[in-house]
Amino acid sequence: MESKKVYIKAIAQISAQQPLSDDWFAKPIELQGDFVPACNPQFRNFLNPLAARRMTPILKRALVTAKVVLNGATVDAIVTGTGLGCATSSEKIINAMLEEGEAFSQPTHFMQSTHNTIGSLVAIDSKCHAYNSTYSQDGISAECALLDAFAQMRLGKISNALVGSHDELPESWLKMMKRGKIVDNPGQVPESEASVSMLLDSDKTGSKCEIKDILVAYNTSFDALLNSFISRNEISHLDALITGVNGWEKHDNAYNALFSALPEVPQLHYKHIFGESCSASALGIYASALCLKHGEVPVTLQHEGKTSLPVKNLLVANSSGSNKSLIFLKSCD
Amino acid sequence: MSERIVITGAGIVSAIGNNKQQCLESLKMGASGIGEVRFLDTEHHEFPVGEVKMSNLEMCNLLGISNKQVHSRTTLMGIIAVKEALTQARADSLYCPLTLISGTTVGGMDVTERYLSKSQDMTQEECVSCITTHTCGASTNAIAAYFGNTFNSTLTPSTACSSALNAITLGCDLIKAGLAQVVVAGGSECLSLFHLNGFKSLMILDTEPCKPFDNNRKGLNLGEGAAFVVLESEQHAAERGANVMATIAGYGNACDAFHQTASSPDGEGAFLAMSKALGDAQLAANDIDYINAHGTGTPNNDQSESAAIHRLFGDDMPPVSSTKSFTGHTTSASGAIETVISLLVLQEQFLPANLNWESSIEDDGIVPVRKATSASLHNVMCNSFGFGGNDSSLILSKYSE
Repeated sequence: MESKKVYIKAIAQISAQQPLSDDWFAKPIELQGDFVPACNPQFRNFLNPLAARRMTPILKRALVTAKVVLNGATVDAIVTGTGLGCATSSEKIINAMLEEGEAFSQPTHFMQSTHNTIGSLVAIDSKCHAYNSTYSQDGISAECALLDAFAQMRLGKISNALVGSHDELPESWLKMMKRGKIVDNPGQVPESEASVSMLLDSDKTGSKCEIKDILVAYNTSFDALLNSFISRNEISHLDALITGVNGWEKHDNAYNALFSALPEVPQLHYKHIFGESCSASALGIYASALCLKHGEVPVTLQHEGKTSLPVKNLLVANSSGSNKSLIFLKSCD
Repeated sequence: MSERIVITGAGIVSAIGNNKQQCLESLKMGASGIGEVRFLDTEHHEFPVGEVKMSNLEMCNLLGISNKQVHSRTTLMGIIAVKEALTQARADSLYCPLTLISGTTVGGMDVTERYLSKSQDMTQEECVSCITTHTCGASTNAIAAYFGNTFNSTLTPSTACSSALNAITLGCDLIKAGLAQVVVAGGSECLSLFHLNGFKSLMILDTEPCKPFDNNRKGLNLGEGAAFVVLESEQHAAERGANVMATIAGYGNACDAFHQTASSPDGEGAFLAMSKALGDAQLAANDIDYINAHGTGTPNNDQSESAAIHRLFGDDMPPVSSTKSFTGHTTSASGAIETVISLLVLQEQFLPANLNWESSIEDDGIVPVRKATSASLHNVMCNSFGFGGNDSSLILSKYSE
C-alpha cells in the first residue's frame, strides 16, 4: 500500500519575533535577558473582544494562529502539542491554594487548566467535531502532535489537519527555573513563549514543504536515532541540519553525536532568534518550512558550513531531556 | 485492508485491586473500592474517593525502588500496571524496543504540591526536581526509566479524562502506519489536591458513593489508578507466539465542540465517537453486546451520554454499565482502566454491575446492569469522554483466528 504524502500548506507563529510575520527572516529582533515574552498581535483584529476577555494569553495566541492558517478551511483533525499546558491558569490555582489552603474556589481557572483546553477552544470556535487530541511531552510536544497527524494522513484516515504547539511561561515557573539555574547560564538563549499553528494537507498545491518522516525517541542517542532514520529513508544528500542548540553547553552536548555522524552537513540554529520554550521546536519547523519555500537560508540562521542553494531538504533535530526527535522536510519542487 | 491490532498483555491498578485478578474478583463480587480518603493529605473527607490501597512507600517496596528519591504517585502506579502488562505479554522475549504511550493530565502535580508549602525557600536541587517531575511528559518518562532499555520512545496524550483511551488509539494508528511495532499504551493518574479542589469548585463531586445513570445522581467520586495494554499487529503476535487476549476492532474520536467542561444535551461528540468506532470496526449497532459507559455520575454527563446512546442504538440497546461506581472516576487513566475492565469481562463473559442505581433518568433514561451477570459477549464498547468535549470510543472483540 502506497502511503499518502503530507505537506505543510500554511504555518503561522506568535513568538518573541514580530507576530504573524516573516519579518525576522530579513530583520530579526535581537533578544536580551533571561526571558523575552511573546510579542502579541492586536488580538481585537482577530477575536471577539468579549470572548477574548475570558481567555488567558496562551488561548488567545493559539486561537489567532489557528484562525490565520485555517483561513476558513475545515479540517479532519485538530492535534495540539503543549509542554506546560495552560500554565497561567494552573499557576492561579496553585497560588490560591498557597494563600487560602483548600478553601479556595477557582472554577474558571480550573476549567481552563487542562492541556486540552487549547485544542478544544479551537474546535469550539470553528465548530469542528473532527478528531481532536493533545500531547504534552516537554520540549517534543510539537513533534508528538505532528506524528499523530502524520500517521493518520499516511493511513489515509484524514486528508488534512490543524497541528499546533503552544507554550506560555508564567512568572512563578520562570522563578523556579532561575532558582534551579536552568536558565540564564553562560551563552544560553533567553526563555520565551511560542505559539505555532500549521495546516497539513495531502494535496501539494501551494504548499511550503513536504514532511517526509518524523521520529520521536526516548533514551536514545542521536547517532542511534540517525541510524533508524537512515534505515527508513533514501537520502543521498542533506542540505543542512537545523538543531535546537540553545547555547547552554549542558543542554547542547546531546547534539554532538549528530554533528560527528554528519560532519559535512552545514548546521543551522534558530533558538537565538526565537528563544527557548517547550514549543520552540515548532518554530524550528516553521523556520525550516520558510527556508524550503524560498529556497534560501537567511544568514541569521547559519551557524557552521555553507548551505548550498536552493535549499531542497532539511533535517530538523531536537533534544529535550531524555527525549529527542528528527523531522525530515523536503521542498515541493 | 490494514492489519488487525491485538492485545497481548494488560495491567491494572485501581481502587478495586492492584492487578487484573483482584480487579476481576471485585467486579464479580460487586465490591466497590470507593471510601473515605486515606492517602491524599486533604481536609475534604466529606468526598468519598477511589484510592489505590497502597501508600507511596508500599508501592516503592513492591517495585524494589528507593523511597529516598522523589516519585510521583502517577509514576509509581504507572510502573505497577506497565510491569503487569509486559510480564503477561512476555515482552522480555521481544527483540524490538517498545513505544510507551501514557495518558495523563495531573502528571507529577502531587510532587509539585509537596514542594509548594516551602516554595519560598526551595534549594536549587529541589527546584530542578520539582520542574523535572511536574510535567505530564516527565511522569511518562519516569515510568519508562524503570524498565531500562525496554522503551525507545515515549508519548503523553493529555486530553483530560479521555487521555488514556486516546493513548490506546494512537498506539493502534502508529502500528498500522508502520511507525511503531509494539506499543504499551494506557494511562496513569493519581489524586491531587489540585484537581480534587478543582472538581469541588465545579460542584460536581458527590458526598455519597456515585450513582451513574440514576435519576437522583449528584456527581462523581474521584478515583486514581493506572492501566496499560500491550498492542501489536496480529502477524507480529503470531510470529512470536504471543497469546492474544482480544482484538481492537475499531475506535473513534470526535469533539463535542460545545463547551470547555459541559457536554451538549444531545451528546453530539459522544454520538460521533461511537458512530466512528462502529464504522472503523465495520460493525452494526446491534453487534455490540455491552457498553462500558463513561458514566461519571454527574447530572450533565449521564444525561448527555444517555442521549447519545439512545440516538445510536435506538430501542435495541445493549446492556450498559458504568464501572466508575467501583473505581471512582480515575480521570485521565479512566479510558485505560475501563478498557482493561472491558477486556476482563470479554474474557470472562460477564456483564459488570453499575452499583448504587435505583431509578431511571426521566424521559431518556438507561436501565443499567444492576449485578454481575453471565453473558455471551463478542464485541464490547468502551466510552471515554473528557473536558473540552474530547470524546473517544473503542470496540474490543473476542479473538478468533
